[in-house]
Amino acid sequence: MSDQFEARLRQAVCEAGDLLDASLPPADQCDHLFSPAFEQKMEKFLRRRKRLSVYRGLQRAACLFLACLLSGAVLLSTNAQAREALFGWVREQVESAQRYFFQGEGIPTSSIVHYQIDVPEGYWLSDQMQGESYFYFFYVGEDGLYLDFLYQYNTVNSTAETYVTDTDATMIETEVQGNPADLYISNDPNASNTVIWMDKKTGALIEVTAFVPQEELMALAESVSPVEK
Amino acid sequence: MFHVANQILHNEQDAEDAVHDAFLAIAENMQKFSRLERHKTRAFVVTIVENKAIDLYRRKARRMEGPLVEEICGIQPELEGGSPLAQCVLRLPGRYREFLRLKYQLGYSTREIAALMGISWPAARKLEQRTKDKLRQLCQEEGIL
Repeated sequence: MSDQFEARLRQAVCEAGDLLDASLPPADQCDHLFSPAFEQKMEKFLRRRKRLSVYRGLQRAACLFLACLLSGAVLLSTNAQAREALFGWVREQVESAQRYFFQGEGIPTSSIVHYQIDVPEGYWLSDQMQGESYFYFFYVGEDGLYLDFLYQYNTVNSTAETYVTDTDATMIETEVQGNPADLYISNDPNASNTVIWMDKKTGALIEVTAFVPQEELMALAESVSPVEK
Repeated sequence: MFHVANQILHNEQDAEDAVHDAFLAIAENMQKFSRLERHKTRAFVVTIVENKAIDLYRRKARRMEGPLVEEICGIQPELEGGSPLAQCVLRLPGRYREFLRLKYQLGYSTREIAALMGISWPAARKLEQRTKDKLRQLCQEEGIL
């Protein structure tokens, strides 16, 4: 988008936001009486804010574990189809994109395994970004083409999702290191290709995108390995 | 906050849950919230609670295995005024509009928006691209572009 359009967009978003906010009722007309359950939750929230973050994390993990255990038990007993998707990453169509999200219990962050990839000669690490549960590496080659390497987890403290947005690609189901994988080969030979899979041993969702043909992309994926501690 | 959540969820208990989730999100991102100018805090709170209400709606819809309105609209009042481009922004699904507000009205970077929405930075980048694609489509339909 051009700078001029960006400026117009900024103004338009502010206008739209102001219109939205103005459409909401004023505070003195919001007369909802919150339930005792909500009041209790908020009191607990305020008390927790004063305590150590470690204690807060343990409480949340315990509640989440119990909630997942209970909800999982109900799901398993009533819905056979949900069972397949419950313990891993699920793919769904969202408009023209494929969205991958996790359904099931998150893992503790202490269980996270880190990965490395053997990039082709001539590529260097240009940027990287990491959060509590995702790790993203951006390589650039001598020809200016990029290579994306990303792995992420669904943990007890954070949810993860990713999208594959190439609207002009053929999706092939394949395998990487014995794990089921989705390979997206663009119908445009000059566009990038993507392979995405879950490492069943660790729960990581791993994604490699590069401007290389299918065989080279699969070789890159097969080169991904856990980092020795 | 409750009014916004209830407009999306149409269930008072769920709306209260969304309000509670919004408070958690704001507390966990207090540094980002506290540096806002005062007149922008309302916009921030509305955007966050809308985001949490949509998240809750999507979680419940997946468990019910009913039809999933993936791009649910969020709050959708009948609004007049504003430029044609502003009207296109208002027509965007809630999640896309939230992204634009956080970026262009409240001045957060894509990385900060990822933290506020509870998604990864790559996912936020892709959300940004999808938002702009959808907005471009709406603008072309309206003859703005």
